Amino acid sequence: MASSCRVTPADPGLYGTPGEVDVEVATVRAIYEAFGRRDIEGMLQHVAEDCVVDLPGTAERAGRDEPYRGPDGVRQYFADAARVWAELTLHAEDIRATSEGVVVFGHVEGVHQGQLVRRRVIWLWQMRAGKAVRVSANDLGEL
Amino acid sequence: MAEFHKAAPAVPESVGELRNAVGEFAREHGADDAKVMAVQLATSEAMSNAVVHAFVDRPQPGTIRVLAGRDGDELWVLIRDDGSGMRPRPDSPGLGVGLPLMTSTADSLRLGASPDGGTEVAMRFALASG
Repeated sequence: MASSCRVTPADPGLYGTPGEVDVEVATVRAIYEAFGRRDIEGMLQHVAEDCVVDLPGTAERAGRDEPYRGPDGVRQYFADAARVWAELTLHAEDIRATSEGVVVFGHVEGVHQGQLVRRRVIWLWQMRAGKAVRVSANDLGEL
Repeated sequence: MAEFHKAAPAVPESVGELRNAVGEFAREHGADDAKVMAVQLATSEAMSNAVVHAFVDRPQPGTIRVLAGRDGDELWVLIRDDGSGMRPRPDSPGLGVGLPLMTSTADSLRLGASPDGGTEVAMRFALASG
């Protein structure tokens, strides 16, 4: 699998993001960058032991009907992504934080079974003590 | 099948009306006060998102539609709009900031493309206490 991630540089002047949550934005950004490098251990640094990774775009194509859980789940997600996608790029275009979590607007581009897939996605992240405890990807339709 | 189905213009006045109606539906189907509040809060956030953001490129606001039903020990709620979908908008500071609140309030939340052409927010709330 050719795997990568494009993260749009942040503009701290936009969005009115509270200062206390800048760390969480940086953490989420680092996770996307780690995925882009296919750096599993780098990603796990930012993921809680009980993290729930709900990424149905890959999970369902891998024949899985439930989220990935914990570090072993993250490793399985990487393995599944490598198996089902010939290419996969996550585009995190707009990262916004609130006191309740982090919202990422973007899109994915991939090749699955020879077909180009381009979907608009919103990722919702829940954080605890500087680490991700849950992420869910929401497919908003074809790009 | 939805046991609750209401539609209204995507204007601020509709949010309160639909919030009260879906809260009443939740109470009639076994939700306690805290759960009714959670349903109303999350539904209000979803509707407000639609009112504020879904029709910015339209001369007139469209329609928001709320569907709900009971599935065993869960209540499900769908909020649909026929707007232009949730897209990154650097000019819109508030876009999306209610989503994490909805995530933490509902027992599950999924965003998707609405059959009406805009966005669909699907939430589930557990009714059983134990």
